Amino acid sequence: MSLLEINDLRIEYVSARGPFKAVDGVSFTIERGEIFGLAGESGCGKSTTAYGIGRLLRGPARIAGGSIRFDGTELTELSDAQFDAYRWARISIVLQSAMNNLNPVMKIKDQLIDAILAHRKGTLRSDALRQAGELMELVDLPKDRLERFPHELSGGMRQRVVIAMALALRPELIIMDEPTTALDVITQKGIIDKIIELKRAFGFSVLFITHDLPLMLEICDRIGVMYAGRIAEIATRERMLAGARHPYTQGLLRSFPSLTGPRARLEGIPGSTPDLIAPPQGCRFRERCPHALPQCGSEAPFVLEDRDGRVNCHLYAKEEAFDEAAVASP
Amino acid sequence: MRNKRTLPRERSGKAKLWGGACILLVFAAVSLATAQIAPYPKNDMEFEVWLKPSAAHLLGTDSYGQDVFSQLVYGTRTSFLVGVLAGLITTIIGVLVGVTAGFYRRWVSDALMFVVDLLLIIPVMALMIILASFLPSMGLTSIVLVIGLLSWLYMARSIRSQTLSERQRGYVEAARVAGMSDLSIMLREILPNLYPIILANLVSVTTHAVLAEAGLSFLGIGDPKNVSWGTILALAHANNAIMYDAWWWIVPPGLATALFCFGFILIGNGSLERFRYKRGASQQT
Amino acid sequence: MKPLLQVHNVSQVYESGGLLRKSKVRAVRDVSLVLGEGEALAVVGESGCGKSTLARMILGLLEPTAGRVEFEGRAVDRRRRGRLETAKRLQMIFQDPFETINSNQRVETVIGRPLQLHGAKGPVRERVLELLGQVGLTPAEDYIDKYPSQLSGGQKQRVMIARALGIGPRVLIADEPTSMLDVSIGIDIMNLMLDLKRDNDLSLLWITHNLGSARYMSDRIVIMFGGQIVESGPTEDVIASPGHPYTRALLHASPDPWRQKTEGEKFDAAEREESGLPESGCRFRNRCPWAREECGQDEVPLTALGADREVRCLFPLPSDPASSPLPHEERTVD
Repeated sequence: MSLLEINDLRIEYVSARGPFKAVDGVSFTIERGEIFGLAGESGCGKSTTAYGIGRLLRGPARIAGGSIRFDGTELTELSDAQFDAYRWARISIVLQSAMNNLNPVMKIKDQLIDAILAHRKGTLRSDALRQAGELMELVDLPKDRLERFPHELSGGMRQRVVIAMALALRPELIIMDEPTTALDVITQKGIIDKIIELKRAFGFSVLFITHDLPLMLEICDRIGVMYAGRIAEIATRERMLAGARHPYTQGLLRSFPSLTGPRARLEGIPGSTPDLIAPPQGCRFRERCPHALPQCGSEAPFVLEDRDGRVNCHLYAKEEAFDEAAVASP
Repeated sequence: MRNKRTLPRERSGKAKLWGGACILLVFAAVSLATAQIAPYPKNDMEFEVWLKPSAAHLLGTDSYGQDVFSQLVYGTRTSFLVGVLAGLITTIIGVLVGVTAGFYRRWVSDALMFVVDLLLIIPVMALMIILASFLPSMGLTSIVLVIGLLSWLYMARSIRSQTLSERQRGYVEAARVAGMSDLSIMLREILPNLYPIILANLVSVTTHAVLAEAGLSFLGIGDPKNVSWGTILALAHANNAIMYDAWWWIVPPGLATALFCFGFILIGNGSLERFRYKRGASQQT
Repeated sequence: MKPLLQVHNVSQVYESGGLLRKSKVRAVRDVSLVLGEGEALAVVGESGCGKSTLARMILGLLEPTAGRVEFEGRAVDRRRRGRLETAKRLQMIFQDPFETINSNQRVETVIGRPLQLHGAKGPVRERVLELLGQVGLTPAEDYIDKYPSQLSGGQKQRVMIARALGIGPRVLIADEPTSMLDVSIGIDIMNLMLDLKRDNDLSLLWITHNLGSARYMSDRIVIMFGGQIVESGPTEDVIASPGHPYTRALLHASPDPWRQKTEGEKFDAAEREESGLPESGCRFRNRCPWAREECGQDEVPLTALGADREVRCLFPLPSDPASSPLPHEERTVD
């Protein structure tokens, strides 16, 4: 059984013009000990999905349908009190600007202890302090930093603290939403390496969310690509490195200048994302797709599932007659 | 995308603007056509005293035998002019000082703010009284100047702080890079972004000017020959109108003042809504 | 190639503190570079390296505390009289299109006002429409009357590019203009700038922290660290075989999943101390895996590395990456 099973998840924002369907029928699974990446550009719904899983949605946003099964339990059916038992102990989350949202007037030590005590009530404070020290060691931070305030630490170190916090109760799944986007590339590398090291040591799964597809291809085992609230493609890293299948993923990969290989002009993707209050019929990528077929404008995309992953695209509907090489990225 | 939330706001903004403008237009018209509208000449005291409102005297008469309605009409011109003119002077000085102090930091800003802070400590009304007592005569101009020259202090502070924050914004640097001069940046780039706060202050300052004039008149400072809403109230109070149940002497001037201020508030809020609607609310996906 | 822009030993020192305790921050230290006609030069460095401060000094927005900036042999002058002239020669595209565009102005004003400032007589609408077309905002009539709030991030940036273009500069400085945009839009902007550079014979100074975009946009590259230039040379050469350990660290850290990896590679040059970089000797020595005792003694000068490259290192990496194994393996002794 997979650790996390998302099935036809739908999350919408209530607005005056009608519901804004930020996540419209998203399904994927995450296995134990796996790093699963959710990639996409702004507005595609990846962060909203993460918030939905972690029950962090507020205000006009609400889960409109679908299921979130964690270790067999349907999370959407749990009450807030019941979900609290999962929060941090089994599922924790590292958000994009978390390092900037550390409480500026509390010492690092107190923030770590707070996190531990809040989610495992009944722990002795002295125990929590000891655990805090262990956590700092885990993320390669000197223990004396416990006595410092957040502004005395660099950005990279603060992010390590946040990761330490997320690890406090040894959860099974850690959701990371753009954990390194605001950091310099060398600092980012250090943190990413540390995350992988910790994953190997503790065996947790990671839902890694970013727009940085090359970064994702370096560390994730499987990658899901989202576009306009839906999944375009899910593939293993190897499969995607050999050549993405969905035209959007191909276009996305053509937007990252490379450091090796020939210096060629990249074409990117023309056009812009559709309106998610009144999304187009059929495939949402049709207007920007260089290989659009007539049915793309009316029928929902064909779903092809095989051992390499899943593609939601009409181009893969007729497997025999279809020449995959013609669609492959140049 | 036009969503239902902005359309009503645009309409409500327009409605407020028109509503406020209508109110002020009425007052302006009355100010201009005082002789035509008032049934009796100014300060005509030949009527019976303490008459209740009737067909001949729409708002009755006061204890001096004057027709209250005529007083009100003549008073409208004074109050309107003082309010608008003093409000304008205040705004101009307030904006000039505020923008300059906010744009040029260091000693210019510090010096200006020092003066402002010093003057702010003294209660404005007291300052006005003192200033008024130094003037040889208290005609309309004097009153306008007294109020206008002392009310700009708060406004300058408010504008300055907004200018300070706008100054940090990226577009100011972009304008510098494009080659614009300091003066140009202040007037053409920053100032338009200050309209909301200038408008808010303008409304506040004008209403305060009208009330200040009423206050000064009430206190007896000001031209005794002049009629304004404040003088009417002053006389009503001095002659114990309340004891005589002469509501027609007390309520109309107060109501007129309130209505006048309300007109300005409507215009202010209406303009603000339309401004924000055009600049920020409309989004295209 | 004729040098267009010359930066001579420029420094920027910020002083702060009260009467008793003044602290100095040397944000930019003795930086020199040359930008030729029609050339594209990338300035690469992470945050805090001084590249944005350098850009401001080149533009004349900030007075260097030492050194000078020259355009076609004449000093760049932003004060009073020189203001317009400098603006006519050097323009900048900023990082944040949401902030640098005045939300109170229609597109026509945003682009048109600088046009009028620089001498356009009469109505500028035609010219603005033309510029909008050049930056790909077509049909131009649809965009010219819009307010910034009605434009997307990419469209805003194009408007700012049109504005800069309209002024007609010879040098365009771009400070991370795509970092706040989606990558697919970012690549469009980069392509646009390459096309405009070619069509208008512009010189481009491309400031970024991203080596990939630097490689895409430039012919020559300069790497900055701690306020200094630590390496410079032709982009392809520097990236293919970096001379300075910091450049190597940057390359190693930049995600590139198609690159062949050596097994067990672990090159950790991350910042550990929040106290700042050392003031004596090489500023990178506390993070450098190859640092030796000599690195901490005297200030390290820029030395030539081959025909057209320079590096600020006492022991630059040899041109064959395989012969300088990473620190956990055996160290090669020179």
